[in-house]
This record gives sequence, structure tokens and C-alpha cells, in this order.
Amino acid sequence: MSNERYELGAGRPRPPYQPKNIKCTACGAGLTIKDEHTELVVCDYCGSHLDVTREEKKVLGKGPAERWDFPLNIGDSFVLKGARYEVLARLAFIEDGDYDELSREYMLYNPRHGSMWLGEYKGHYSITTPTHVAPKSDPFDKRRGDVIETHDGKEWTTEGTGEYQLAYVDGALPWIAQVGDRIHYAEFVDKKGSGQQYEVQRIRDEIEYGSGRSISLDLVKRATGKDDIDADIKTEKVTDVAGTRKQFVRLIWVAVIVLVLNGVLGTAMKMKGDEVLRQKFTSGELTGEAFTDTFNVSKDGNIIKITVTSEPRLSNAWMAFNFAIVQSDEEVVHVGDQNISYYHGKSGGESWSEGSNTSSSYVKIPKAGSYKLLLHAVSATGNTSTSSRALHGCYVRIKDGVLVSKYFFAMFIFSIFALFFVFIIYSIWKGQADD
Amino acid sequence: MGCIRVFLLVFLVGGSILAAVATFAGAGASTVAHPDGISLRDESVRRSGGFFLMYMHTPRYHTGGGLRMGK
Repeated sequence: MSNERYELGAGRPRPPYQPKNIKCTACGAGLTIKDEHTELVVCDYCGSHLDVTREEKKVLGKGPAERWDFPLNIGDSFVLKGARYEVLARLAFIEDGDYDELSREYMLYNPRHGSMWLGEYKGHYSITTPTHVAPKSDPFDKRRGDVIETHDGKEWTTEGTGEYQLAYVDGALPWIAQVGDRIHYAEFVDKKGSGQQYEVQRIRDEIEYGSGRSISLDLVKRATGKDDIDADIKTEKVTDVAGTRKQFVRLIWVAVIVLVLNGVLGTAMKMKGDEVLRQKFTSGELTGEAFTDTFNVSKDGNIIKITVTSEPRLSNAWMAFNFAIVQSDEEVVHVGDQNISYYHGKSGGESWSEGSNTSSSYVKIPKAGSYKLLLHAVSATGNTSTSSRALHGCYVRIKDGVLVSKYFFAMFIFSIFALFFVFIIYSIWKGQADD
Repeated sequence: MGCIRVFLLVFLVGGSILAAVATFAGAGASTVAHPDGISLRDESVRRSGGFFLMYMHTPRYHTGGGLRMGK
């Protein structure tokens, strides 16, 4: 023996697996096992399913009499990155018993590179290789758009989950497949949008993981040397789940930012300005006409906010309030009014109320200077429609240099509705089956 | 999704811009009705017994309220 044979760290290449010839137990036809992991061989001649895990081959039964249409045949070549793979097995799956929902899969085998899968769904092809990277959470309870993480730290967006049924198989497979087998699947796509795919399949008690990516029909044609593949298949547009989810997430962020921005700006605008007058008036003063104290408007064009609050509070009553803005003690530059009413009661066993004890007016004052208000009010209770005197007094507050905040608050409320709307359509989208 | 996304983005961003423009332009505030002023010393005001009575000519009345809505 040479020293080289036992030298530490000097590994030896494993002898290549030699294809094994067997005979079909049912019809006696000669068959070849090219992959050492093969457990099931479907006889090319009689269609019998043979369990080849034991030395004594066992016939498991016959496949469906009807041959399915596959663009690729057993033994066809598939050349990828210079390596020649051979189609060893073909499988057809249908979902929900619908033959339009047909997926075709080809097991591709290369003695040096092992096996990989070529999948086709409505004219869209993908290549998948087995992986040992498992997800950190249950992949089968995910809905479209949900994100899962695998143990290699990658994040994936769920494209869809479901169950399909094996409708046809031929060739040689590394597991004992039977027509009618149900396979739970969960498909994912790279959250970052690289196009990489990840899938999990559960067949009975076994779970397999695969990673891969979509490939173009042109690449399939070049790899197989067949130009007529899927010439009669109309390819349907496949939803870009990761991209659509990203759009939803961005939209939600925009709505949240707009919501917060308008809320903050509305609050800031509401707090803006300086209180320049706060004064209480009795009902007697309001029945006649009364002046407020003088207040200052600090800049030309400032907006003042006049807020009137009834005192005592109105209870099933109304108050009609008039004010005049008086400049230089004698010139009325503006006349305004406010209606305040507050009604409440019970109807049909439920309490109701409407109105408010407070009302506000905004007036833009063209010139800075000293001003005061001339006030007058009348009020009444119940359904009384006219009044010539005030039953209630009031507080008058004036703020100088304010801005009208209602537009920001309106957008704040609209943003809440928009956010709800986005969540609703996002939820509907997540619940839809992947087309 | 595309149309809804564009509509919502325009609505949210455009609406916020409009809200800002309206706020800072002073929209929603009344402009003074009498920039030249009405003198409180005028005979007509003094004679009629009150400015608002002269100004409004008619007594105020209330046009609504919860109890009038049949509740």
C-alpha cells in the first residue's frame, strides 16, 4: 500500500456511481437506475411502479393509463452552466382538483452535481435545488405577503401556500411516489426582491426545502435545445408578491407619516397665538350692548380667534351672539355672529346630545393696533324661536396671531380613513389565492 | 393596486400640501367686512338705541336645535 493512500487530509474522490440495470418485475423490460438514491422506477414500457429499495423489486401498481403531455421527455438533456443534466422523472400536480391548475416538474440529474428540479406552471419555469436551510417558523400557516425568516438569516415573503395532488409520475424518483399523494407546499420569494425563491414541501411525514429562481422560457429552450417548448401555452402574468407587499408597506408608511404630520401640525397650529383677552359677561350685560376691554393685534394681517363659551352651560337652550370689532374706540370694522346651542335627551332608550357650549370665529385684521369688541346676545330654552334678552352669560377669549388648524385636522382624519382602507385592501390581497 | 396606490398617494400628499397652503394663507378666517369703518358716533346708531339693532334691523331667532328634530 502506498503512503499516499493513508495520508491525513489527503481525501480521495468517491468512485462514481455506476448506473444499474434492472428488469421490470411486471413485464421483464430492461430498465436502468442512474441515480443511486432512486427508490421508485416507473417502467417505460408497461407503466408499472417498482419499489427498487430492496434487492427484490416489488411492483407497487400501475400508473394512470392516460399519458400526460410534457414538453420534455425522460432522458432529455438540460444543459445549465456547462453541466449536462438528464431528465430522470416527470411529475404532474393539480391543485384543488382543477386540471387548469397544473404544475409540471422534472427531476434533473447530473452524476457530479446531483439532482435539481425544473418546475413549470402556466408557462413560467423555475429551477430549484434541495437545501437544508429550514425556516424559523411554521411555513404552512403563512398567508400571502407574510414574512418568514430562515436559519441563514434571510427574510422571505410568502407567495402562497396550499396543497396539490400528484396526478402523474414516470421515470425514477428518490422516494416512493404514488398517484394521489397530497403535497402541502409553501412558496416564498426573497423579500429584498432579488428574485430568489424558497419553498417547503411536506409529503406525508417528510419535509423538504428547496431554493431556486425563475428562469426564462428562452433559457429553457437553450438548455434543452428544443425551440418548440410551450409554443401553444399562453403564459399568464405572475403576481410579483414581494413587490406588491413592498408597495403596500410603503403606502402604509406614507399614510402613517401623513397622519402623524397632520396631527402634529394641527396641534401646533391650534396652540399658536397669544391670548390677549379673557373676560366674563353677565346675561344682563349681553342683553344690552357691552364692550370688552381693549386688546392688541400685534401685526398687520394677523388672524384673531374669538371664542365664546356660555356661562352657565346651556341645557336644551340656544344663544345667538353678536360681536362687532371696534377700532380706535369708535370705528366698527367687522360684525359677526355665533350661534351656540346644546340639546340633549333620551330617545328609544338611548341618550343623545347635539351642539356645544362653545363657538369660535376667525377674523383677519388688516392693521395692527388696539381693538375691542362690542357684544350683544339673546338666548332662550327649549323650542322658543325668538328672544329679546339673554338668559345666559358667557366667557369671551381672544387669541392674536393664530392660524386655522381645521385643514390639518381634516387631513388627519382623512389619513385615518386612508390607513384603514389600505389595511382592508392589504388584508383582502393577503387572503386571495395566488394566481 | 397600481391605481389605488396612485390615488392614495396623491390624496395623502396632495391633501397635506393643500392643507398647509390653506392654513398659511389664512383660509377659513373672515376678512373684515368694513375696512373703512362704521362710526359708532353716528346719529343713526345712537338714535336707534343700539348698534346691533341698527345694523341687523331684525331680531335674531334660532333656526334649529335637537328638540326640533323630533328626538
